[in-house]
Amino acid sequence: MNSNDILNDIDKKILLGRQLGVFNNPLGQKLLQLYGHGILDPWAIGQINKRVDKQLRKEAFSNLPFKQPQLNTGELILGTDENSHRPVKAFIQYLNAGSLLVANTGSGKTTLVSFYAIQIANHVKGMWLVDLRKKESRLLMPGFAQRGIDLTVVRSRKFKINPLQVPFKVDPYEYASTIADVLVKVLNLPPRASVLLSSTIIKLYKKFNVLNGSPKYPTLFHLFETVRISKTANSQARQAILDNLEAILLAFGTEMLGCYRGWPVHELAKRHMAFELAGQPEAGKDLVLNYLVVAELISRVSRGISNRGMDLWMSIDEGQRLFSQRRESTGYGGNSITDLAGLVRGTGTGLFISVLTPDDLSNKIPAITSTKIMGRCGSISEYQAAGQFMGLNKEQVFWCAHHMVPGMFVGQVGDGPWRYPFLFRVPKMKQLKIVTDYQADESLKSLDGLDVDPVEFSNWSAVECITVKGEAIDDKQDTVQLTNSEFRLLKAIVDKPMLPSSDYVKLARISPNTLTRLRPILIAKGFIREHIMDSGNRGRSKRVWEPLEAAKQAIAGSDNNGGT
Amino acid sequence: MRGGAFHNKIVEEARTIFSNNGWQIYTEHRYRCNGTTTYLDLLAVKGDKRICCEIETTVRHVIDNTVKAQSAGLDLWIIVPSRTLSRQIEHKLISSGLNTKHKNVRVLLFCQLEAELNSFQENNF
Repeated sequence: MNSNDILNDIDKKILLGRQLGVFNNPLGQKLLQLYGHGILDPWAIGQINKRVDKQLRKEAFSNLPFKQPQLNTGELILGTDENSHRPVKAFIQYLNAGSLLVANTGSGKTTLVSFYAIQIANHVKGMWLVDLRKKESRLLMPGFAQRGIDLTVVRSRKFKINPLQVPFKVDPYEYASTIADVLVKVLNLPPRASVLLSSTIIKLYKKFNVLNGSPKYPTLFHLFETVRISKTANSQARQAILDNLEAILLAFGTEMLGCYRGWPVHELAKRHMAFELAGQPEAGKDLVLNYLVVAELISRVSRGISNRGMDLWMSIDEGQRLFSQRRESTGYGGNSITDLAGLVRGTGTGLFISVLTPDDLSNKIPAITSTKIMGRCGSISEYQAAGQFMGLNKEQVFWCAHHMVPGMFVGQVGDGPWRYPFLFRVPKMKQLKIVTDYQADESLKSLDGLDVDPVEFSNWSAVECITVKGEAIDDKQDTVQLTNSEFRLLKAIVDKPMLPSSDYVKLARISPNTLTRLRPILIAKGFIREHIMDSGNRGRSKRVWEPLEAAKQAIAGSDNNGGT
Repeated sequence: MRGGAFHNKIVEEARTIFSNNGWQIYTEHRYRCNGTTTYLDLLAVKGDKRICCEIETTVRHVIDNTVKAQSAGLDLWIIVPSRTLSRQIEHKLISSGLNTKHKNVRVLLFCQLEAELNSFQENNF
């Protein structure tokens, strides 16, 4: 017996009406209440029939095989409904569980991402817009500025990172094995190399006193040199590491990777950043992106962040090669992001991946992304594959193949009570103002305050003659180099910052001549920054002294050691 | 406070000057008007008068801040620490078509703030 046999006509109309969303307004809710209480007079039945029939007729004439979206609330406008031209809305937190966008070139992928990024910007602490092939995210800079947000554009050769830098609140032992796995995947190394890398990194951490909390981390250059002199290590693993790592080190040089401390990733996660990776070698792109994402995710996990709202939105544009199934299954490659991407929702990170085609897309990606969007694709098989991710039926897939145009998308939100696929359009972006490389580099000044410690060597070469100076410098050395008067002056500045320079004569108990002599020394050593404040009179301007991080560390180190 | 140490020091000192003159002060104030959201370093309110202040220690954000303040219809005082920066900012505003002479934007040295505030109060209260 069919279950529908026990239902009468009005029951079936109610069920159909619920699916169509015709009872969502106050009168509709009252009709459902009447139905629930069995109060079915001719007026109520007439109203129910009228509503359901009207909607059925409307959908039949709309000639679209998609339901009208019942998404009317939320901060994020996904686009306009193709049928009613009303905005389709969703809550920004729906994107917390990951999103996948499949659309071929020229179908409006970047426009869609830009449209969403502008809307999301004010609702999250941090946003990472990753351009793997193009340089389009930087065009959002003026739009962000209008909303009071600084978008920092990092061009491909302007990164200052150290993949061996232990992320915030992460145990160095745990991180050593994680970063070793990342390097194995990124550099396409044999599995044996993972063990060698992991043990070498831990040895380096011991040498640099990282395990006891030293903030000076070894770099990939130190790793390369240590592997090179490990003649007793497994020769295949050793040679594979040297060959592959050397290519990266030569391509990036010390300008990018030569930092004992690079930009702290947890600080970048609090900012709106556009990372431009176009122009870097593919392995280099993988290394930078894997490091940034993995470091932030592992740091969040270590901090015990669990099941919280999205405060970092990452959009990875043109991620075709990064999330390639072929790379994952053949050789040793792949990437660590797919391994950790399952954690993103729990750690408050929304990952938005856009790809050209579902062909060769890692099969983990559709599984870990809840919100799916499909734009115009190139072939029927691509529509079928992408349609399968969001449960499109055959009729819908064929409709898409014949009707999709640039700017039109089929979406399925990953959360909320209504999860059917729906059709929508994204508005065309107005012509965006060009952002020059100079302007992009100017935006990087916002990262000047971050604590970066460059290596002392600048002429690294892959040949055997490398000399790495200043390895494993003890924390004490910074403070020992200060003279008594330097220390007194620096301590006074750290204790009472931002005072006019002349005030420190009394505070540090030094003579004005000594103060004049020490001023350029402290500035040159990077301990203080001087600001000029003009007075209203004709006299000399006030010089206000700001202690920098190095000064605070030097004083803190000295205090811990009982003085200079 | 979102700026650097120097910026924040000037904000604090400016805040004290306004407070001593009986103004109600809001720092990092979120202001929405005409569809524009702007964050003001200082918003000073006394009676029906309001003065919005942006403290600039570089020329980087001055255009954005000025455009936002103008589109929100606010009178803006840009407070700077040095004459050199004041000249740079005036030059940048003029070259961007934002003439400070005729529009509701003033560039002030920090040391001129108290005098300017007294003069404003004499004219308006």
